Amino acid sequence: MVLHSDLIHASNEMNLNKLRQIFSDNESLVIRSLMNKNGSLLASFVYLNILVDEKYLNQHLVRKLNEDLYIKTGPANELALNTLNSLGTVIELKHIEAVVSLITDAGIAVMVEGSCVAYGILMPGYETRAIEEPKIEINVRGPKESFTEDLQQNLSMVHRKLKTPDLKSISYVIGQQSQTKVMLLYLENRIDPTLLAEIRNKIESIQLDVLIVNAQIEELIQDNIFTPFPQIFSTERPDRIATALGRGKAAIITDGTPIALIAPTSFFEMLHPSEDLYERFYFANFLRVLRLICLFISLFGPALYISLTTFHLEMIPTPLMMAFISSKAGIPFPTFIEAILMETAFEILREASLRLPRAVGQSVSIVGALIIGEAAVQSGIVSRPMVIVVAMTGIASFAIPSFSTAIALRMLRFPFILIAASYGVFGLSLSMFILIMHLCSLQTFGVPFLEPVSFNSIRDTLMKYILLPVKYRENVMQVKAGRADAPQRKKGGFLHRNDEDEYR
Amino acid sequence: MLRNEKKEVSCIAMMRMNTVKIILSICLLTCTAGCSADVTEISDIALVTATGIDYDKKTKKYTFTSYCLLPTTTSTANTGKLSDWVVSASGSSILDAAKKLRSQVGKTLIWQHNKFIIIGEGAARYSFYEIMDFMIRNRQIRITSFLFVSKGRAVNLLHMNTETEDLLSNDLLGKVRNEKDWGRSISQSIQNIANWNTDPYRGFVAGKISKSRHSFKSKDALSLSGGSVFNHGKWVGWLDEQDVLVVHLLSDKSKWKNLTFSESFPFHDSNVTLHFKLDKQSIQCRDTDGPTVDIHLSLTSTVGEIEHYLSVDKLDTIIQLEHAASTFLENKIKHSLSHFQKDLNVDVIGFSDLFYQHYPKEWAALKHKWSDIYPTIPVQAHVTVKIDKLGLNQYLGDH
Repeated sequence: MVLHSDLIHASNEMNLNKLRQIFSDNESLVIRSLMNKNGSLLASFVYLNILVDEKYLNQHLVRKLNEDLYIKTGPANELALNTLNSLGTVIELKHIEAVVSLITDAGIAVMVEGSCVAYGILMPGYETRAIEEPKIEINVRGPKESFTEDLQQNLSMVHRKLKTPDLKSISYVIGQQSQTKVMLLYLENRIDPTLLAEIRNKIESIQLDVLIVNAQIEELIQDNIFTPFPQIFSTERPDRIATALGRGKAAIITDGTPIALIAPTSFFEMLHPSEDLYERFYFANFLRVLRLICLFISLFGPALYISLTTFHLEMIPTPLMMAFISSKAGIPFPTFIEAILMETAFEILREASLRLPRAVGQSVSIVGALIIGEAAVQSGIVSRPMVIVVAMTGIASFAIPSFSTAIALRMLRFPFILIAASYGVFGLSLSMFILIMHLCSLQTFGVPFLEPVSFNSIRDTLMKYILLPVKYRENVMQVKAGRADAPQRKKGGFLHRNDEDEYR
Repeated sequence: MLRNEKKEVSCIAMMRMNTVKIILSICLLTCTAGCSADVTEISDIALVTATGIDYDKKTKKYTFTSYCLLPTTTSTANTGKLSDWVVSASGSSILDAAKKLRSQVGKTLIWQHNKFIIIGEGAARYSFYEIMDFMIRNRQIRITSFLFVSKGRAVNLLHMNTETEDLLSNDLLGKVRNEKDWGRSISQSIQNIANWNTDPYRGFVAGKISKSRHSFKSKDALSLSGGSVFNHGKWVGWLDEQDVLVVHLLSDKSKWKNLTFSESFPFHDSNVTLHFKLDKQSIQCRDTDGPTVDIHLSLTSTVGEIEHYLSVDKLDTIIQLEHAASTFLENKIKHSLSHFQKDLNVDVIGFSDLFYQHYPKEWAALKHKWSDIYPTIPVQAHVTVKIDKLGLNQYLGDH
């Protein structure tokens, strides 16, 4: 589509001709005209019938406008404006390209003969998906609603959770062709103005032709492109967005994507699902520790097994060593090859069960589990401990709540296996050191990626990491002391001790 | 200007080339995974869990025996079982014999899980220093493994089947664990032995392993009981079970804190068996009018068996019983110490260490004639027994 910066002409026919030219070969374009008694043109409606609610248009807009233009006296454009104002928000359009973008955005353009201004009113009539239960971030006690593809619906879900005028939403249109609406949400009294300015700058500088999903935005606004770890949290839960906004973060929702982005984010936040805040604090803390163990297993599980069974036999307790020896008898491959075989098989299985139709996927995972588990052991290709290690590693990686973080961990497992097979625990500790250094070096929007972890103050780190009972969390105490609006980002940190905003 | 641009272009080209080189080398490095010379595949090893060393004085040859564990089958259908395999080799030195084992074994022998070193009587008598030297120098042998001296040749013991039909190493480990329940056997780690072995003033007691045959069984069985005494880096003789118990009672806390033992002694025309547990132990030395040693032991006890009726519900009887038990234990300790001092003349308890710690100045004079003074040191043993539990307070059968 080529947009011309043409002003709207007083002659309706000329304007309509231009629109016909722009929307040539588009059967959905509808141009309806209201004529005077003497056959002269009064006004025209232009819209795409696949996008607008035609029933509402016929019953209300057309009938009312017809009556008003016939019966009432006065300038036609004023009469039309009054009628439209009574039906909804009216947008004044002075350029043909503005008319075109309104039409493509499920709007109806009303052009009055003799007026150089057209009026637009949005009247979407297309079907949208109903609000459904979250499919990725499932929880037990939390709300059971997730975002849909409809921007307005998503926005309303967030508004219902944060009923405050402080909730601001800045709208952007990104994509030369797609004209996708993107909204930046934040709580005015919570967000750090410099952070807001940085995010706004980054979004404004996005140059895209077509924006389909907000993963494209994530790619463009993140600070470090080549790190395997995601630096912007993506969620399908409105409650998670509400919590994040309360912590002084910003959220980005995109039309057509049922996932919202939260920036800035820390690595450990990706390990904490919203469920943590809904469970009793003992259990929540237990789960937090458990997830750290899962993180370690999913990264180093097979690598540690390889290095222990090929380099450091003395580190395995004797009874376990006896079990390993007996199960490894007759296996034709070295442990390293076994691990690579099994890990690759596991990844193939995971990918296949994810992409296949649900009914088939179930059977694939069962067949795959049988093949990997029992058949491989029976046929003497892999040893039983290796099956256990790979299965354990796989399950541990599924316990990481953030899907994109889990992918990063799974991917890093392979180089670790290679290093373990060459240099044992020594190589593994070196690579772990490099990984930690890399994570320490990352920053998102000026915030350290390993944010709650501070080597200067272990107490502070623990206070932020361990969830206290609601009564003793810092923000509750601030509300009691009349300092509810106190939290401000300090020294590059954004997490306050034990956030509980949803409990206030 | 043109020259500068050319320079910049060539710089960028160089950087790209370098990046490509680095990426290529990383890709090539991945191919080396598993190529390290240090890799020992678990399927290629034989796990040595007990080692025997014998020495023949006539031929001056060492026999090195390894008790190895191997998978029962190479088929994966029947995994989970291990079979034992004993292999021996002889050589002019221990290392020579150990290296010769390689010619007889199709697997890589791994000593890191070895828990037991069994030394034959002849080797302990004539070549203990060389054996200790070998074990401490060898990086694969753990200094936490236990050292036993065998009555007879070690290789014969390693070839024996156990009564439980379990692996020999598991059976021995179980016997070591049971030590705390009866106190008549002793197990010492190589680390402790190495520390004591260099001490010219004190000796020590190591474990003793022997064959034993019960009258109702046709087969010989391995048994850990008694001890073997070493002095000045040489084997001196055996200790019987009663003396080993006294060694336990007078050793450091790690040896007696979990120890329970039972003793039978006559009391009021009856024979009483009590279970004892040591609560407090103190060994003090004095050097006022010549060196003396005071031993204070405080034990708790439970009545285990009473042969005939005894009115143990009366306080008097209990006090008398406690007194009798204390006297019995005191005599037992005195008897054993007298054996250590007079018969063996070996400081197995480590009185010399006590004098060195508490009277360093006096020790400087004492140490030169220690071997003469030690047998004459008066030792006072004070034992206090307190009976905690009586069990049933009346003997039902006799009433």
